Amino acid sequence: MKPDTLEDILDAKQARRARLAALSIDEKIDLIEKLQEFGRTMMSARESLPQPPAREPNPPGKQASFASQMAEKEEPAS
Amino acid sequence: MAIEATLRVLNEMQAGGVVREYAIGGAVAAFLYIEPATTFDLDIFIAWEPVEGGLLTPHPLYSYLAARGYREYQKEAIVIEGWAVQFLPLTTPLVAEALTQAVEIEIKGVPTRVFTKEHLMAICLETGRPKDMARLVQFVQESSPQMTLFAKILERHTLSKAWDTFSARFLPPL
Repeated sequence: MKPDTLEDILDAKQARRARLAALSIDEKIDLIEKLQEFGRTMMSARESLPQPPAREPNPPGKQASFASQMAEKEEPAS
Repeated sequence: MAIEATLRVLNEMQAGGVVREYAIGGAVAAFLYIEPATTFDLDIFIAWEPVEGGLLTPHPLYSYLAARGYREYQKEAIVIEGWAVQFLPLTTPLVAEALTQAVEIEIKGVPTRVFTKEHLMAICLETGRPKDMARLVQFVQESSPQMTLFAKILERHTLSKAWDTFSARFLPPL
């Protein structure tokens, strides 16, 4: 079997786009609603995954971020 | 979730004088002309009815919907019959023109109005986010726009230069 060339893949993609663009309004709406359903299923599946443990806060006295460290450096010497 | 039920509610709002006129814009409108993709929002552009004193406020619209049991929100959108509807004001003269010149169509047997492809293209150019630029390329390649009409819209809204820059950058030379 002859392997697909990049041109074949791009042509197939272009043909798919043209076919989908030419669907009737009602067919397009059906497609959008199916995509929404699929998207919602994916999102709820992602939300049901166990959350990573929350990061422990920095101990007192330790700078929280690079920004605050930089701000401290920029403070004028008294 | 069925868009026809959402559109019926919008048509009732219009018939009841809650909104003067409305039209579908945004991604759903674009997908009626080009390859459809995922979108969760239905962007509805409306001419707000001024309340007493001339103030433009969406309050009567949301009160009307709340009285009919539509009280669920998803970010800035209100859920009407399963669709997250975002009511948008006419922020620029181009969008205002798009509303007045919107075309009548039927979706699943329900009459409604949608922005023309040429206005949607001009709005993409005016908005100018990366996704608008990508969509504009799709409009040119997939929707056979009326370029003379489009050029007139660009001229009226001083977007001709932006179009020249866009086409030089993103469209293959003819």
